[in-house]
Amino acid sequence: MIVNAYAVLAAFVGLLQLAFGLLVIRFSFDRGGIATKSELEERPYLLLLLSFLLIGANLASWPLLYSLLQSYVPSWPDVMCIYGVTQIGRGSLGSSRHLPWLLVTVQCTKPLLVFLGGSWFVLYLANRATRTAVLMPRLLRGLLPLGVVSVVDSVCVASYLAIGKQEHSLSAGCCTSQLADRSRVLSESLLGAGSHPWLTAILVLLVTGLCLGILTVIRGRVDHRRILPGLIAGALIAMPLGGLFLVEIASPVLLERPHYCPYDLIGEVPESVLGVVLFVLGGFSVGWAGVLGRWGRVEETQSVLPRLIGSLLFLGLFGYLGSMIMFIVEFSLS
Amino acid sequence: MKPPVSWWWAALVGLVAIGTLPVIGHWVRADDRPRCHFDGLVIDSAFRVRIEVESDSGTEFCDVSCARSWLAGHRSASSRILVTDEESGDLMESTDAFFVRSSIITNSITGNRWHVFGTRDRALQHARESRGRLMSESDHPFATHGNVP
Repeated sequence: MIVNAYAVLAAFVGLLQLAFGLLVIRFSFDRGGIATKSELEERPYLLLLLSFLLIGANLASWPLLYSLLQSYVPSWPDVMCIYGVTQIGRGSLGSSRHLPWLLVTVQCTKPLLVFLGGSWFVLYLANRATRTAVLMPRLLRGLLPLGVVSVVDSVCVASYLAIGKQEHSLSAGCCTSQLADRSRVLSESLLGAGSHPWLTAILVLLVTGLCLGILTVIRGRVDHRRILPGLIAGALIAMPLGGLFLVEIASPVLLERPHYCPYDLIGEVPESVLGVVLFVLGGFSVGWAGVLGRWGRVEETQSVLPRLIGSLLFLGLFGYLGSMIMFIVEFSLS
Repeated sequence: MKPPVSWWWAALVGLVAIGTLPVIGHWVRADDRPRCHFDGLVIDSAFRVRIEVESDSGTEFCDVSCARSWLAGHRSASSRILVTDEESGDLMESTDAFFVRSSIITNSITGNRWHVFGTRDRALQHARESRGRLMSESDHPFATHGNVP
């Protein structure tokens, strides 16, 4: 166990996630146990307040995870970046063998939590616009997956923090330097050697298509119900393609060496992290618009739904455009 | 559905600000020092290795081990390898150089233990003094690339 300021902070935030997550799960299940009228009126609002705290803790825990991993880099002489930290325990026979899959899990649950939290929040905004809080049952049901994933995430983070790491050395990693006869390995390209211009072309075409689609909807030329499924499908395809682009194209170009490690961008080209965040925001915003269109549509929300969906798509357009602009400028300077 | 005009203006300002960030980032990080093509470290001229592939202008590495690692991923490249004599600091053909692997680490980050000398006597002296061994023939660092004397 390595204790530093980030580890303590991550443990604290994880504890909050666990506590709020368990409370949210309990109250979600316990809706039948309401005895008095005042409980009936107050409990949903207590639950909503808890949910806001949970969403805040989930949101804070995402960048905190990478700050924690970055703070662990100096703990091993061979590790040079976060990728090296993610390799600790690989091939180990002790309890540290669980470290790599725990990290993979939390790196998946963190964005999932942000998406689930955002989805819940947009439903909450739609519910606020109604007179009879008609979406409240859906809001309460939506808290269950959020609570469950929060608990899973916090347990994984707590396990990662608690498992001993110092006594286990690296087997290999792209950012390690056991150079005797170079057990350090260059991080492998997932697609093999080459510039892969097709990947850039497909991604640019896809993102341009998404931007044009969003623009068409928010300018009111097409009903969002007709085009939203296509936008969601496009955003779903763009996510893994964007990740592949980040590893295969962006990392080596921005780092100015054949190094396929996006973690290095955090320290060496920090502004590119904003480009990644904007791209994720673009995809998530389209997804949130889809959630709102699917689960927020009731009689009372008919009037506010187009405005809310339009706002989310506008945010998505900003995210995609910002990401594209940032990477185009970065590439032209590199 | 249509966002107000003020949103478009705010977004435009935001996008312009986003577009300037990489420029500021490059300006802040401006560094003309030559860097290793393999791991990005600043190259110490005493241990520099240069690989010229056919008509290529040349790729530079911070030491022998980085050059070997890069070559391992470019096996088909028929190349000319230039290494730096630690004594004089001059670049020389790897076929003319003498390589010693010793206990002396030239770079704490890469952990390189390869040392390059222009003369056999100096290489043997370093090997004696630093618990090293003269590496030749099949032990030559670039043996698998045909760059052996």
